[in-house]
Amino acid sequence: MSAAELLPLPVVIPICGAVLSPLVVKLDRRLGLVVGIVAMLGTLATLLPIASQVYGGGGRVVVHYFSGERPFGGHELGIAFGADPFGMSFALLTAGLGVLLMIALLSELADLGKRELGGLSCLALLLLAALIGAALTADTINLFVWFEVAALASYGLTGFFLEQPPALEATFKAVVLTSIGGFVVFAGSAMLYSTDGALNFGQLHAALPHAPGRAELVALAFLVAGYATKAGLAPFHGWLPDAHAQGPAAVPALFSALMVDLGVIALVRIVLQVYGPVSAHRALGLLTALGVVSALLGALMALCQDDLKRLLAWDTISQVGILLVGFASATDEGVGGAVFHLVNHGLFKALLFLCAGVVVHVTGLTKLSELGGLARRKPVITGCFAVGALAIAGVPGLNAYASLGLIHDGLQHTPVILAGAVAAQAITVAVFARALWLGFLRPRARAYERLERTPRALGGVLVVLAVGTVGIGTVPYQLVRSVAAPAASIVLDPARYASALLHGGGSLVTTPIPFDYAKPEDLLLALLELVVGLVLAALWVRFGEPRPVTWLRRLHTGSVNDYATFVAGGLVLGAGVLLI
Amino acid sequence: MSSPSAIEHARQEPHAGEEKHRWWLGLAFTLAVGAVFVIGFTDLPREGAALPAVARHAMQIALPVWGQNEVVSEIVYGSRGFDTFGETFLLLAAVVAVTTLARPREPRAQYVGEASAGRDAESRYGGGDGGSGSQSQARRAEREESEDTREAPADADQEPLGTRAPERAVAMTLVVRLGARIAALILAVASIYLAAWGYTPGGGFPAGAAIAGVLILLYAAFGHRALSGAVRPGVLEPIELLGASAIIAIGLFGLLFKGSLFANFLTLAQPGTIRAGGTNQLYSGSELIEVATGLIIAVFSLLGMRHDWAADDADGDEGDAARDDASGAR
Repeated sequence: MSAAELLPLPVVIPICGAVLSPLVVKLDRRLGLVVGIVAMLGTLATLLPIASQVYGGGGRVVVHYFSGERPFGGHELGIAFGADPFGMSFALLTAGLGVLLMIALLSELADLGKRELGGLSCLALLLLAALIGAALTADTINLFVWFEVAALASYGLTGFFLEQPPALEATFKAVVLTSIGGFVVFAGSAMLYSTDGALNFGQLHAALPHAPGRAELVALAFLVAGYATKAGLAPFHGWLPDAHAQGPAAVPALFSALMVDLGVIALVRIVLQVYGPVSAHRALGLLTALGVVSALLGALMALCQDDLKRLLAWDTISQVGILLVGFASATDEGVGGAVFHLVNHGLFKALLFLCAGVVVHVTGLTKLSELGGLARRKPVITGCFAVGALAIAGVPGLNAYASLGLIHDGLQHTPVILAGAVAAQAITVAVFARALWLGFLRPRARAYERLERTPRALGGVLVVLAVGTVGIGTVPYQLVRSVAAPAASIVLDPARYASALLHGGGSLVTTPIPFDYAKPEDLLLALLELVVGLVLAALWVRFGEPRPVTWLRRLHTGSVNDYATFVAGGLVLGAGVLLI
Repeated sequence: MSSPSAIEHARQEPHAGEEKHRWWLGLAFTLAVGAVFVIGFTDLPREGAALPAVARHAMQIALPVWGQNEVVSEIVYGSRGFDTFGETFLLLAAVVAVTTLARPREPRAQYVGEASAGRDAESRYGGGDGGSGSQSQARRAEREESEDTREAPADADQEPLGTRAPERAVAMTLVVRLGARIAALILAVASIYLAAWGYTPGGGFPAGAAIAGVLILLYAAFGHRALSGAVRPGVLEPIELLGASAIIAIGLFGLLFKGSLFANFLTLAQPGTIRAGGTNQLYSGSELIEVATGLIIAVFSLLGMRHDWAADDADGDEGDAARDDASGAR
């Protein structure tokens, strides 16, 4: 089979696993998740030969047409998958992390009931399949379908631990906001079809005029609002801190490391690859603004949190903001850095969430104020959390230093945005310094009421992720050259992507990204962020939050009505920016 | 931590007081979103505008390529069959999510940290032991109900007319019950006909929904207990997953024989016959099975919820399953 014929399998294989898992748990309760692990390994094995085509030889777009419907005269009625280096990077990350997260679920929850485990495994696999489908698809309605599959699977996973009252409340918030998002995404896709008669990204790009009309701009506003809800960008983020603090250890890891990226990928596809930087230059400005606001808001709110998982969830909002700032810069460095950071963020966010999950699992406590002294009692977990924290802080030598440096390079011509990104990064340093101190390093005299053993395989997954986080940091040049650069060039060349989609594939022209690891200004900037962050953390722990931050917190009332209003406000604001 | 005021729990960033409903604010935002819609819609092509090229193409190929004289079915199971594939598993995700969120407690072997964190949270904001008034009221009602049903007759037809029955559905009159019996049969046959002949827009999907509707009609007429024998998740779930597996298999055979997932690999029969449309008919039939069973499972798992997860000392950690077995044995 050729790579193009293999292309649907990375979605079909996890779905086969999802169908099997509720059946096999009748034989043995553990089998459902074992099937999940095998399915994700199979997915990864299928992706690798396709990936060698996509990245090899300067890069290619591999295309599969479903139902035997091939394009005719620049039109495409059927659905196409178009694997480009950008989507492929996310698909590979999803499959790889999927294996580890399924192992983590099995390790932590093997003692639960049969039917619970069958349902859990089925939902997790459907979510992973939907994420891979969204990364590969080149069709507006098909993207909407995967968005919805991911949403529905995530509701069941969010509310999985029914013994926790907040779980159902979080699920309800996620249902309300994501449904609004789904509705506007569908409305936007339908408007584009009725205006330009196209569902395929390639055909749509060719049909869209350089100066989009009113309907096309409103459709863009809808699509941005809908997918930004999935990505958790402010002001569409109300559901995220609640939903990402629930469920078994691996579930928030799955959400934060992978699911929010579905929104990011969709935004990049629609804004940069369908509309293109020329038609959507205002949308790029809008995304930059939303990104900076999310980055700062998420980081500040994370600094106030007492619940460890909630702190990480707020940090996800901040990181998604940084990612979008990178993509919306529409420069080679910014987009390449953002693709690189997407992968890095997936790795260390999964690591941090699993650490937080393990802490909850072994102590039964979730609050930083009640924890402490874990460094002496649980050295491995502490070490893994520290690796994640140092990585996210952008310490030179670990993986995020390079990707953040590239994003900052992409913002050189917009000093205000750059300052916002750097400030957000400094606050992020403070967030993790504080979390590491309060939760792990702080001495604790009182013994814990309970201190269970860490499930062995889960500890193994943590170590693998920590090693991966460190390992990726050692080969930045190779990754920038063979992953980030081709991904950036296809994202910034919509015409080439469009033509590849309508002609059964095509090769790329990759422009190399200038990247120097030891650039003095990048090193200095990283150092500055670290120093400012540590000072800020010390002041915060000592004196508490400043008043303006309290006002910011008061905005988040926890009421789903208010959060829905924020979404509506964001939608109207976006439409206003695009139309006026 | 700096000050106690900075410690907040999982529900809200600061602990806000009463929720305020500011209807005027909601109205303003609703109107603004409506205005955005109107601005977009006024720019859409008018009635009678030319069809997009892909829509014309779909009409041209429906009969010669897919053997279908119904364009919607050709789109749903043919040209864009992969979207339907996604929708199928969207439904599966919805069904599994519902059954997961409506599941009874299962016995668990081991201490789970999250459960104890949950008990913590519960004691903080109501519920659980003592709990809020409404919760204990609900429990009392639940208990009364389960005691009541013990004295109820085996099914509605044994019930002497005119008595106030414990189960509300059992109080349905003879006329309603007879009407439901007749209508259910006709509706069930009609739904299968919808999928079998494939001249109807959508085929198996709406047909499956109609079959689920038949079961809901019977539920309304005869009550939960009369149907709970027939609607067993243990039986329906494998059937649903079988339907889903059949859909995956149809797609994969297309990939194997034609190099494209969901391509038609069967010869087309005479249009207008039951086998017209090659794989489309198989697909539509499997969809019927998957949708009907899926919807029935989802609806009945919601109707069958008779428990909450609040830490209730009465049924400790051996779970609701034990209680369910006991009631099933009655």
